[in-house]
Amino acid sequence: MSLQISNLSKSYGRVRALSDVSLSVHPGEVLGIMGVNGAGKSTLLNCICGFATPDAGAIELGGRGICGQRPDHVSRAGVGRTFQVPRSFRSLTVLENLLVVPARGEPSGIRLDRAHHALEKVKLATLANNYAGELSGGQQKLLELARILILAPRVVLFDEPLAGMHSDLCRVFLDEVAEMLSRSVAVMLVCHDPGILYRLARDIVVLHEGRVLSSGSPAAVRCDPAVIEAYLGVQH
Amino acid sequence: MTSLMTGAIVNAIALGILYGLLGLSLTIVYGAMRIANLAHGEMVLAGSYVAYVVTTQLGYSPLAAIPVAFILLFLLAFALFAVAGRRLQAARDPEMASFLFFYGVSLMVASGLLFLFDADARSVIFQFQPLSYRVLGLVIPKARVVAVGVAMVLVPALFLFLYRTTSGKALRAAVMNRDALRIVGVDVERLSLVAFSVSAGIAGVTGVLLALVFPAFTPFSGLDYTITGFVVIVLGGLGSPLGALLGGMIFAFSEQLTTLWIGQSAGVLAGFLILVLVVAIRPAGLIGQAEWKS
Ligand SMILES: Nc1ncnc2c1ncn2[C@@H]1O[C@H](COP(=O)(O)OP(=O)(O)O)[C@@H](O)[C@H]1O
Ligand SMILES: [Mg+2]
Repeated sequence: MSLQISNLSKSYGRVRALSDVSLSVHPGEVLGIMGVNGAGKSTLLNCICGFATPDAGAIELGGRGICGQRPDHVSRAGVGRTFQVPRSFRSLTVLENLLVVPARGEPSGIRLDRAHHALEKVKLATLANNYAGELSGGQQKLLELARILILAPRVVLFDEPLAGMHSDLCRVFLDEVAEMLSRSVAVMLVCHDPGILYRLARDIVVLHEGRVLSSGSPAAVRCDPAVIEAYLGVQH
Repeated sequence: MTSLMTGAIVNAIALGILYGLLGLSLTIVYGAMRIANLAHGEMVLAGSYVAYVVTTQLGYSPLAAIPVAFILLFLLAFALFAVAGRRLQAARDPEMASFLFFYGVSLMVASGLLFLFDADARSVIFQFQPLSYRVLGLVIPKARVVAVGVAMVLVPALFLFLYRTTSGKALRAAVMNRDALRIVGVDVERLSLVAFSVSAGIAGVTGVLLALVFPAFTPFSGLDYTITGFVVIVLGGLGSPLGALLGGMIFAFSEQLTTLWIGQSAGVLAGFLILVLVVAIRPAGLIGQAEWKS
């Protein structure tokens, strides 16, 4: 299933968090989203997932409009996401965190097996009965990843999944992304580290102050003078 | 130990579990919806009046009032929330909106009860067989034993629901992080509707049980229950079921022991003093920390 975004705008008071943003994500491909802090990356994800209502524009999932729908509807329509700051249920165990995902008719035995399997994949199996609040930041991000494996969405939005994550844990994450791509999942990857995006992404969109500063193949974006200027201007 | 002391302790345990029940239903609503239900005491009181009608007026056992109170309060709350719930949660300031809304509901219920039953104090009149038990030199009314017995079944049942079933876990998860629950496809609004209705049903049952323990009530008794409920859950930690039970016990013990040592009027004051102390030292309540910070 493809995700298509056209002319999306969103303001918070006088801050134009997004203006006239268009992009699309296709099955089996990674769309990289780059941009400095405050560029509007998380707002883009919030608009897609229904946590924020765009002021203008359209969001289509497999040709069907999902703009303005509630988060639980968007989730059931097949969009999964992680948060920049991981959101787990701290006083539930790691396993229980996966079991609160609605079963939708799946027998509880199978559900439990899948939960254990997902925890194994993200290397959290030994912590299944620990409280989620005891996990490190990186492990919480892997728990969010396990939640996505349980939901098996057709489109996945990752918000800075690797920021602050230990390199061993990054490996786990990257392996899972590769497997999702092989199952034709469409992946939107918000990432601070251009190196990773240059490697993984089919296309990259660079946001700057809510606008699309540049977009295209990694090779094209990399050499775009506007991108170089924006990045050098901020980082040095 | 003097028999007065034993009596106070027995009373405290009995009241503690009832206060715990009061706090449990309130904390479910507060936790799952971030709604301060100011009408909670009136819902409890409505349960007491159901007990009054079923026993004093119709002559049935108070046990018969329990399912009646649960179903009646459940349905009333369901209707109320179906009409107003979504709008309250969509308000710009949901906490203030619901605060005012439920204050209005509390006034409405109280004046409804006043209209139906007058301002006179009412009590549950029912002759249990035997009327009382003698234990450790104390005379314990059977009504009180029944009330505590029912609460001792209800509280573990609620805990089993909250800690062992998927919907119970979802409810607790909603306390910890609503957004994370929504992105996995849980209809948090519907969950809130069910939580609110179940909570009102339990409040109704609590009212029946309190009517067996306290001698009398008037249409204005609701505020006392609301205040006790809030003290109990703030003491234990907002949104924490275990905290509600603990808070109920502490409040009941401090109330009973100060009444014994100092006097009736000091009883309630001691509970508030402990509340102020707890809030000053541990703002999240005794065991609210883990679930409150998320
Ligand atoms: N809920 C909100 N309320 C007000 N302003 C917001 C909100 N969310 C984001 N913003 C503002 O929108 C801009 C973009 O933020 P964000 O999307 O979080 O950027 P990024 O994820 O790229 O760092 C920032 O200026 C931020 O302060
Ligand atoms: Mg962000």
